[in-house]
Amino acid sequence: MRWGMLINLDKCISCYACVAKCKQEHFLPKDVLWAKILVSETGQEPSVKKQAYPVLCNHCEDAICVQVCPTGATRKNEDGIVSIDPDKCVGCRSCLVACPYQVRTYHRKREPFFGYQGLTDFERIGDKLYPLQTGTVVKCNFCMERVHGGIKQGLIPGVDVDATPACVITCPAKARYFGDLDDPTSEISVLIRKWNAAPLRPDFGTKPSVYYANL
Amino acid sequence: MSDMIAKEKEQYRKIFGERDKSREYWGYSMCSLCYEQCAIRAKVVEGVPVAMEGIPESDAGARGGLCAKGVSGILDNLNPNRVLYPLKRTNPKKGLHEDPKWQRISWDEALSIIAEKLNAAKEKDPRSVVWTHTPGPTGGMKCMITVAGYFVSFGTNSYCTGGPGPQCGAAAHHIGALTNAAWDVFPDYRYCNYVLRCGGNEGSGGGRHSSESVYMQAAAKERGMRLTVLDPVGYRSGAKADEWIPILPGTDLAVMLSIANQIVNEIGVYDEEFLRHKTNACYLIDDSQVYVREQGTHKPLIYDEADGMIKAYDDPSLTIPAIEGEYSFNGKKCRPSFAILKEHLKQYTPDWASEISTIPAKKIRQIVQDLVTEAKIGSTIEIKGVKVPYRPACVVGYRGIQSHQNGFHTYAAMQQVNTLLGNLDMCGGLLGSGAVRCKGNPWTDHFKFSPYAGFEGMLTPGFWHSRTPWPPLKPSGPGKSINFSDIFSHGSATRGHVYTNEWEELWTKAGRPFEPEVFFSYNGNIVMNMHNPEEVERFLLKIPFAFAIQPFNNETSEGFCDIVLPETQFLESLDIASGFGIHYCYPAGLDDWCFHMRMPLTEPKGESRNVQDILFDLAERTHIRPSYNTFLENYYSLKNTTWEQAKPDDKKAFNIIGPNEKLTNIELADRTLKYNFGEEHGLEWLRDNGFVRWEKKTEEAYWRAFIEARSPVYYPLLTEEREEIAKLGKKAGFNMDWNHYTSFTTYFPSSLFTAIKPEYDLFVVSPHDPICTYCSSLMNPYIIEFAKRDPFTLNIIMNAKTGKKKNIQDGGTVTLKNPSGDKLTGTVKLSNLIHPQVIAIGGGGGWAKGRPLARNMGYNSNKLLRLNQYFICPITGTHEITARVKVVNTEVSK
Repeated sequence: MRWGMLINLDKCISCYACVAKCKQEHFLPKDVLWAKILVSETGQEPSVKKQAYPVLCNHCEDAICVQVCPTGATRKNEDGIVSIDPDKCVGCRSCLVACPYQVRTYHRKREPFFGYQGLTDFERIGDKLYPLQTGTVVKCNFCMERVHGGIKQGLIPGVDVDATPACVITCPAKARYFGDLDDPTSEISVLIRKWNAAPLRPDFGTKPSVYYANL
Repeated sequence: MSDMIAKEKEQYRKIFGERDKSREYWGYSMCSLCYEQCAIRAKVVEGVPVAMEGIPESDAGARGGLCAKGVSGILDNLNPNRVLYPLKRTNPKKGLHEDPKWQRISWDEALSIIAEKLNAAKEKDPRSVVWTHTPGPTGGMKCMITVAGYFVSFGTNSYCTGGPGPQCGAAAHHIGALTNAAWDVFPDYRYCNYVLRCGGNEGSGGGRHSSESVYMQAAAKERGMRLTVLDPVGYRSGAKADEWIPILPGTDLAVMLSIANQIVNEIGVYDEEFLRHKTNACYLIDDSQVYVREQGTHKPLIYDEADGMIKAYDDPSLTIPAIEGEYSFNGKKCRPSFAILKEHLKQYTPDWASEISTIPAKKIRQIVQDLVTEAKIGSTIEIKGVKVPYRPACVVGYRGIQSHQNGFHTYAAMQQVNTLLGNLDMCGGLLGSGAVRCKGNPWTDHFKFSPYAGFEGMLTPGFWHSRTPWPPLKPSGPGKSINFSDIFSHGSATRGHVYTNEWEELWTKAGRPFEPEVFFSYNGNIVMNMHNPEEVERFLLKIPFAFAIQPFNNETSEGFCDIVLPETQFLESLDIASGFGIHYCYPAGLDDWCFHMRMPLTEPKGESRNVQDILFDLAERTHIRPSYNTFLENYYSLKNTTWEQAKPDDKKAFNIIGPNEKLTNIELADRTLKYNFGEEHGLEWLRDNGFVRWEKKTEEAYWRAFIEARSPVYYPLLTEEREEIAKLGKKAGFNMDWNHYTSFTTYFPSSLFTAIKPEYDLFVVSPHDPICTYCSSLMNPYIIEFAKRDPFTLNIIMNAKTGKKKNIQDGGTVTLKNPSGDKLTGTVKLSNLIHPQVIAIGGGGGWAKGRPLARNMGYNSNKLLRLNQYFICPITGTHEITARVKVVNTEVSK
């Protein structure tokens, strides 16, 4: 069992829906993003192309962040999800430096979205429902609460909305797929083969669990 | 007054109170942050909305997907800058940047002041009440039904919108009504194999049908559909295209005419059957380009190849209408309009179009070949057991292609290409959107509408809002309408002339039958979404009293309004109108019927109220309740949905609301639901079940094959009424190019190319951005975070080679100046994804205290637009929304 994600770049329109939904799902504070889109362009006329890469934690099989974490806060779960135990994280940020994909953030403190006008009820309730510990490193956890909670209810991640990462369900283009990379018959495995999908920068050698079609 | 609010709250609690007591629940509603109105469900914990999602089981939206704006809507709900109480201006000085110095007042005081002003204005002349709106951020369909219904019932046609209408879809909606009986058009993505998209960012997160089209286009492309995009910028729709072809703004007309020419005169493959039976290509016309008519009946005539007879257009024996040849009727030569159209089009060669548009002629030829090949003219397909024509190719565009001074001919030329392919409302082709025909729902057989053959056999929508599109009203005036829509009777009921600096002169020449006394804005921000704010200010300052209904203050309300009434934000709204945007953004094509409604997910905050309740109160206080109720009755029972129908008739039986009944918003919604979907499907049922869904029939999705009505390839009334419109126009001081009033689509260069000196060498466009649909998008902290990260959202985008020539560096500062001396300074992003002569500005800017986060976010390109009659389409009133500028200053990035 190894959860993974596939993003079809031909379908992605870089609309930030995934970024917004991720932020909402985890009540992320101002300027903290677990999902991002890297936008650029390449080439000259007439072959110029826009480049837009939605990025998130790659939940690498050989995760450097796990190796460098001095307290064991960053760990790789049996299902392939790389997660951080905030109670063990001391905020040393070794992982933040080590991650070749630069998808980790140090959470200093919650700045109000509306500045001097103070926290909204959404931010206040977020602190209760999904507390982020200040002084720790945070990142995408493949919505493991949804995935694990969904499985407990008998739901199938990648198929049932309530067991699937929030970025996947909100994508208006249905560019994202989630499933078991170890199961060769899963939709994600079939599509990775069909579209010849690959991770970003495989040369980093960390064996990411996030694949991209039409790179 | 407090009794009314207490009653509203009591009724709310009766329906939603039990649910609200739960610590956590999911509720159904509809988004309202752009035109699309996606179906949503939201999670509420301890009274706070915490999650927003699409609804996978519904075809309304992106099948469970939801865009960034929609997801972010929760923070709009909780925005500390919301207006929560009625406000009165205490600073008597009005104008741009003025601080209104708001004072909180009671609802009773606010409505008393407004009613007094409205009644006084009505006494003088109801048309002295000028009204405007924007269908967002909370307006949705309410602006076109709830609000418009009030003002047409009041008796004012002084409908003076800015962003919507003249800058958006004035030509598209008018021509859409004639060609597709629809407000807009939408590729049939389920079956289409080739789309030529001309600007607009539908499919890439912008425009109408924004999320639905993202889902549909992505699925179609995965299936193998090819997409070619003609667009000045390549980082939106162009980024997802198989081929992006840069085009100079405002030149699409030349390309479309050239495509039509190649189809009929070079390739010679077009849908003859469609032209014969579904268009007026067969109507006979004489040398003066008007219909040859039957004596006595005055009916247009058609030559029947079956028996060689000339017959009235509606003769039941008509079998094979001729579209070619020359005939004689009463000794006069005549020909089918198509025969003359073919000759007319010969002048528009690909080389000629290439010179104008900057698109290589060989590319234009390739596009034509692709369209003709992929359209599979003559083929059929079986859908749900019913055989229908199959035309899986189309050309589509919206604001980008039509919002130019030559808007009518440009959009008509685009539709002419589709007509020649025979794809209008055919499987795989170009569908009227959202929905054009419904044969009723399974529970009541209500909710029925269908297009039909109206005046002279031409296609007429069975469901419409705004004034009746076909036949157009007879030109009249001047002086009947403050926006001169009396003279310019073809097209939208709204025109932007009042906001130009020549309005005083025009109105004086029109006789000044009345003066504007009251200005009303619903959810609008006309100062920001029109053209140069200083010109808009000039008109607004003339009006003694202004009020607005909206959940937020903005540049318009702070600068000019005397009273602002707080409307519920969309997550607190109960809004039956949202379910009746049937021909607006409804599940298109074979998507199932999915009736959703905006329902409150939390109790309204402060003293904010639903606009329907506010307007019921105002209708009472301004003594128009019977007319307003009649409008709502007719609309929601689908008896008659156009604006000409608000005439009370006590004797008629009613289905939903009687002329003198005093209902609340909740009662109106419940009765409307029960009338349309049965007693068991009222508000409580919808609260628990979310939406009503039933299967769409082939005859509804692809109705064209089943309705005997004709679309135009020839616009006879334009020629017939040219002289009269010119005469009336000149009387009011208009000196427009009246030649636009011609029956064949014809090349007229936009005044962009004829009225501006070449030294203004750059063209400024404002492409729709998926996260910044309105300037109000930039009030949301989520959206601001994303916008700041995207190089194409908040910067001034300039072609990299052009920048190099002008010594402009990426990240540097540039000042642009238009011929009127207006300047805009901002940060440049150099890119190869833009035409060398084009600058793109996504939008933004603003200074209102009510929108503190939006300050200094992006740039408002409208500032560079100056408007007068020479930059307005003489037919549809479409504004030229491309500005021409030159670079006057540059600074290197620090």
